[in-house]
This record gives sequence, C-alpha cells and structure tokens, in this order.
Amino acid sequence: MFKNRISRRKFFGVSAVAGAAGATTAVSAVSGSAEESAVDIDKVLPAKEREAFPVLVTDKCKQMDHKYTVFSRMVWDKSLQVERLGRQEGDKEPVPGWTQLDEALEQAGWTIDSTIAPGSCVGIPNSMAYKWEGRVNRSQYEFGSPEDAARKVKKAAGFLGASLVGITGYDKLWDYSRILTRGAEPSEEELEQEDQGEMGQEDAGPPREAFEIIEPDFPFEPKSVIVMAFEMDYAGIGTSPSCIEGAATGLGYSRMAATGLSMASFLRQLGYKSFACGNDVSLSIPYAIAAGLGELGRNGMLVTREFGPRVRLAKVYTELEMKKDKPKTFGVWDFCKSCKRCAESCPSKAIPMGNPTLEGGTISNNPGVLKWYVDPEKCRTFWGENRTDCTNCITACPFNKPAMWHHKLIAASASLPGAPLHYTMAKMDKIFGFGDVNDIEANRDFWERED
Amino acid sequence: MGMMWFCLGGILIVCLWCLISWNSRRSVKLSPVGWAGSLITLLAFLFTVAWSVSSVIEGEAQAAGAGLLFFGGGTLLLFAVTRRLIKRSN
Repeated sequence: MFKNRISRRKFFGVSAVAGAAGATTAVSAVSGSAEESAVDIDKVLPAKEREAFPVLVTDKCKQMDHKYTVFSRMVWDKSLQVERLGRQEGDKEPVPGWTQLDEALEQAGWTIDSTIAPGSCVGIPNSMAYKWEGRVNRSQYEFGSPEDAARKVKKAAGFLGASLVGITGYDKLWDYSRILTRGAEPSEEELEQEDQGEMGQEDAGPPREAFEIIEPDFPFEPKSVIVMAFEMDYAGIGTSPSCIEGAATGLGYSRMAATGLSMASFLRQLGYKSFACGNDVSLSIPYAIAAGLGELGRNGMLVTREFGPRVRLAKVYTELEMKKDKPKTFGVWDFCKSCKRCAESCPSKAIPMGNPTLEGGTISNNPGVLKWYVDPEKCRTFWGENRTDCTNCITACPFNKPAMWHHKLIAASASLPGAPLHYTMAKMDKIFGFGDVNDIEANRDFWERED
Repeated sequence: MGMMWFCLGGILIVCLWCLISWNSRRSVKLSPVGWAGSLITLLAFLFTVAWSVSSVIEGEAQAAGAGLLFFGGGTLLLFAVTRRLIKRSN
C-alpha cells in the first residue's frame, strides 16, 4: 500500500533531504562540536568592517594622564582610599562567595599576575612580564609580507593563549601622557605621617611604596599594536560580586601577563623589539576597537561578539610592521541604547541610564569621546566596600553568553535594526533567566556543578 | 550536543517523509501555502526542541522552560493555523 503512494521521484527527493541531513549530523559527530558544525552565524549576519574608528572622537579628546585614573588616585586621593582598609579576617560573614574556599580560589586566580606582573592591574608599567626592554635576537626573521606577518603573529598569539587577537596601528592618542611608576621608598617623614593616620583612616595599612608620575619613553618607535582578549570563566563571572568572580577576573589578568610575556618573547626571538602591557601604558579599549575585536558598550567596556564584555585585554607593542585589522561593528551601540541591564544591575549606580555624552562627571573621565561615561569613583568605592571587585555589568550584559549555537543566533540578530526589537530582546533575556547578579545560589552552584 | 543534532536530523527526515506520504493520499492535498505552513511549523518545532535541550545541557532550566513556553506556544499557534488552512483547502 505504502509503495503505491510514494513515487520514485518523491522517493529520491526524500532521500536527497535525508542524505543532506545525514551529512550534517555526520559532520557534527566527526568534529565533536555541534557549535562548530552548526550554521556559521557570523557568515549569515557578519560584523561590518569599518574604515574609520566607529566611535566619535572630537578634538577635545587628549591623551589621558594616568595620574587621574581611578587606580592612580588611590595613591594620592584620600576620598578613594576605601580599599586601604583591606580585607580583614572574620569581618565578612562566610556566606557563599566569601568563604575561605572562595577566597583561596581568588588568591590562586591572581597568583600568576601578582608574581610576574605586580601592579600592572592598577596601571604600573615596565615591570617584570611587562618590562619594556629585553634581549632581542640579532638575526631578524623576514616575513613574506605584512599579511604573512599578521597571520603568523595571530597564530602564535592563539597558540600561546589568547582567546581573540587583532592588530592595529600605533596611535599615541590612546597612550597615557604620563604614567604612574614606582619611585623611591617613602621617606621616614612620610612613613611617620602614615603611621599617624594622615590618610584619614585609623588603620592605613602597611607603609606604601612611593610612586611618581613620569612621561613614558619607549625604547623604540612602535609600528603595530597586537591586541589580545582573554575570555573569563562564564560561571565564575556569573557569581558577581564575590570572591569567585574575583578569581575569574584574577585568572584573566594572569593569562594576560603570561601570554603577553610569551608574545613579547616570541617577537624578540624573531628579532623585533617588543613589549607587552596590560592595563598600563595605554587605554586598552580604544586599541581593541581599532583592532576589530569588538564595540564599545554602555558599561564602558569592550563588547566582543564571541564573549560579550567577558574578556580582559592585553597589548603587545612591536616594531614589526604587519597588516592592520579594521574596526568591526555588529549592533552593540544601538542595542546598548535600548538595553540598560548593566546600568540597572550596577550596585553603585555608576553606569548612566541616559544617552551617550561627550564628557563625564569626574576627573577620571577623559572627555571628547561620544560614549556612556561610567563614574569610576562610585565603581571603585563599591569595590572597596565589597572587599573584592565587581563584574555585575559584565554578568548582566545580554552579550555575555557561553559559546553555544542559540546564543550566537540571538547575538547575531542583535545587529538587526530597531529599538523596540532591542528592548524586547533585553527584556526576554531577563525572562529567560540570564544575567542575574547578586545571586547567592550561583556561588553555591559554582562548586557543585560539573563542568 | 552532537547527539541532539543527530536526533533532530532524524525527526526532520521522519516528519518530511510523513508530510510527503500524507500529501500523496488523494484525500489530503497540500497547497503551496499548506506546504509553507507545514515546513515553517516543523522548523519552529525543531527549533523549540533544540533550544530547550541546549538550555538543559547548559544547566539553564529557566531558559529551557521559557523556550518551551514562548517558542513552543508559537509553534502550537502555527500548527493550528496551518491545520485549519489545509482543512479548508481540502
């Protein structure tokens, strides 16, 4: 009976469909990664390459003076010295996220950074892993072309641990005009002043090293800047703000230092002067945008297509000439105008709810760029009060998702225009249960859930 | 995940086979609109299953449930409309 109903032509038609589906599933099985074998969403809705820098930068924008970054101000600005109280044993109830286990993990996450790149996270340059000088091979490797150099350097960066890598030209505008550096040890008079609580606190902690602000003097003229992004652990960041989240952040910094040092070493071995830097020397986000790694978000961070804002950034300055990448956009700017989840989840209300502006409200904001100016004073003060850092704005961002096909699909559709669509997507993200912050359960689950 | 795509591929083939065999019966004929509706409903169903299974694998129970509610609800609506269209045309 059945045979009579299906003609030969239809049978072959169905067989063709079956063959195609079978081939697709076979590729899935062979590759072992369904995400890789599923439709390549980046090809369906690709990011747009831009010729110019995709953020409006006016003449009012000058080089930032590192003295005025919120981290430098911790050294000289009494109003921001909350964290100098330090974490004290037993003064925070051991709730999930702040237990001895969690704190140990946080310390472990930061270990490599604090061992080979101490101070870099607050912007102190030219130390250990991020040393500007290093032994350079006298025999210089000749690349076939700037394209060849870029391809091989990117391959090396990926191999050495970078999650994303892009290359851009050196732009002095994004370098700090002056940088914070360790100077001489404090004088006895200064130590005495600190002992007497001149910082306005009863316990000012151990004597600080003296710092000084100097103008940077690189040992060579950089021609290219390699920008590397390092993914931070999704589940770890999802516990924000807690010590587990601090561990994920610290591990990001550790990977920055390790891979940055390795990349600088790779290029020196090839005969090109190079040095790596983390948060020091220059503003990382403009360089990352110029290198095509992502877009600027409302939370003041780089939003990548692959990981959202859940990345840390390191740079390698080099005299090697390479083909430069172009900036890319994929709808973050428009999406952020409608989505305010980072601002809503910020415990210190440091992220603005309004439209982008050309200047911020504090001396730690560098004016002249059209963007959402985060209030670093409020943000930093909360860190001090919280006894660890905070990544609520990363956790809550709808672009912060693990690398699975359905999240890629939704992220790609964010590039479609329309404020109502973006608003709805942001709301649906919340209804679907993503981006919760201050979640004690997430801290508890972190240790229980299998990878 | 690989197993999920394999199963979805299998469901797709079985459903297409059923559609074609159903269409070949003289009593029910699918118009172009009926074909389009059936295929869209089928794809919406597969998307719902894929979303929910992926969310369960990811450990996001709420996303799995919301996926069933929103995408599954939409699929049911599509199914009802398509069924009515096919019935009317026959």
